[in-house]
Amino acid sequence: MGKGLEQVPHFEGMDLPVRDPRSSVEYALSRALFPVEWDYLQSFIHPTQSVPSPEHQGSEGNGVLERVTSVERLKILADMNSLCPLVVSRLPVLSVSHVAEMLSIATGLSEDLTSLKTKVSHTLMTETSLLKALGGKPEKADLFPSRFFKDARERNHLEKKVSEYDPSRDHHFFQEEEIGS
Amino acid sequence: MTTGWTGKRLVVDLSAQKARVEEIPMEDLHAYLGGRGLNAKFFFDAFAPSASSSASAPPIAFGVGPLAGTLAPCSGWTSIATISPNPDSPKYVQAGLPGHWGPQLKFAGFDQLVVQGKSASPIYLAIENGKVRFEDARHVWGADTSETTIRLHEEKEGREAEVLCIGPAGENGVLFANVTHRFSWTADHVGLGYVLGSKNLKAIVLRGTAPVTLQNPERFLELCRSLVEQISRNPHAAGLKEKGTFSRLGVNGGGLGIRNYSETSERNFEERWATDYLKKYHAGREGCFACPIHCGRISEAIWRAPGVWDPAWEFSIGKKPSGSIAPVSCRVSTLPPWAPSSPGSWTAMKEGFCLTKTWDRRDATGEMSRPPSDGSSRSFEETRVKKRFARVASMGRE
Repeated sequence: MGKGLEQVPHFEGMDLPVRDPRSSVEYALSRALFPVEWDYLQSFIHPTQSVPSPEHQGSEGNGVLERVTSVERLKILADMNSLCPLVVSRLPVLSVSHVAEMLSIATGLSEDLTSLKTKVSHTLMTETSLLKALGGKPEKADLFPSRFFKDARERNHLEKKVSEYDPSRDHHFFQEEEIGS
Repeated sequence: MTTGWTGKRLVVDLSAQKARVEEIPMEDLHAYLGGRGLNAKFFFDAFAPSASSSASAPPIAFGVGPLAGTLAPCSGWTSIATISPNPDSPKYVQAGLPGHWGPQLKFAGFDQLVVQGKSASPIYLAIENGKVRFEDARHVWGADTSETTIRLHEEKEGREAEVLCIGPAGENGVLFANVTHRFSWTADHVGLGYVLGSKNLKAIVLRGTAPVTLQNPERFLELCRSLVEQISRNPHAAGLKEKGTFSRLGVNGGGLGIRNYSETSERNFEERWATDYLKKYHAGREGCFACPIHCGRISEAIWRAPGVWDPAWEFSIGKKPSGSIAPVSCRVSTLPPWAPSSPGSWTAMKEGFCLTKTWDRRDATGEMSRPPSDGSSRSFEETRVKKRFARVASMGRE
């Protein structure tokens, strides 16, 4: 990206068009379990959510799977209500009870944690059934291109700096020119 | 009587240039609420029984929930779903669009918009208070998303209208083209721009004044005020407000993968990036409808050397210039015809996270062109950027 900032995501000199699940375990799990959207916000999980709950301490993965599932379901809840997924599921700033209370007052329905959980599951099941009916991703054995599972560090040709792939990407990036200057 | 919802779905057939309004069953609204749920239900009903996605022009659905268009904090998102054109991605896809477009769909009178068929020539849809117009879009076909938005606003629809459009990428069949709203907000990664382009649909313009009915408006207003207060005191929201998405750099690996994503970047690298950005390029904030946080960033910068300078966290990976695709494809074929003829890169004003983009421009041999040393093309760039910056500022950004 310029002088001193030469290591950037790329594949043989090209920008990656989508997020790569190897950047975090949470991201990879999210990508595998909730396949409808490729969601960069997955890596936005708040640190408090990264602490495994007591019942998952010591279990395989330290509750990462449960945490990812929980966060992704919150995101679906946000998507169903036109709410910002950052605010509802990633940080989170608005709780499920806040959402339930707003929905109850707005629509007259008696929403609570259980009813919203059911509706999120309903949506998730519908999406999964649709994907299966269309022959989409859940039926594939290998969800990611094979290159995702190989250790990039073993590939010498991926060890180059960006400037070696593309000599034009050099220190000129940081020219100090701004509007009005 | 429905409150929160309008209970209506607008179905537009581009092939016949006709539109009809359908009632959404109450049980669907109660079971799926809206947005992503409603879209999933629509596609399930339309495609699952036949188990076929082979339609030449699959529909694309835009859905909002019962809180859209209300004062509920951060309720500006729209869920967009379609059948993906990308053979490597799931066939049913959905993405979220932040901004002001979804609430405007509610004000126009609908919980869901479904666009089917394919137009014979480039058009854009204008939906105003339940009425649909099919307008000729040949004059903006080829323009990027910023240019399209401005021209539709200035020439015909007015600045109050909310525009969702595609750029040259969608028009030219790039599989992962985005749709863009208000210069910056995109629903991305899943080829929604490709789908609109394949329908010859350049843009969807919304404008409405219909009220959103609520079961108990007084209590709702009181609750929203209380939640806004809570959000303003929340330290995480404060971090997001102050630094935008930079506030989360490095958390859980962040988004900055390096070495072909085998590692995440170093903390000081990310802090330096964020610090440099805030110090040199940050020009203001913007937010979605009813959002008290305003995590969007308006940036000022101009005239970089060839390449892409892109100081937003997310876009460090999947960059989204005005052509609505990753820049690597812009270099190949989709620079708009009005791009500066001078060599080097050009800067397009856009972005909530980052208003400025610098695109590469390569000649036929693939060699990167250099900006002229005498700065002759800079005035052109500055004029364009200043004009667009003034335009964005006039749209009520902070």
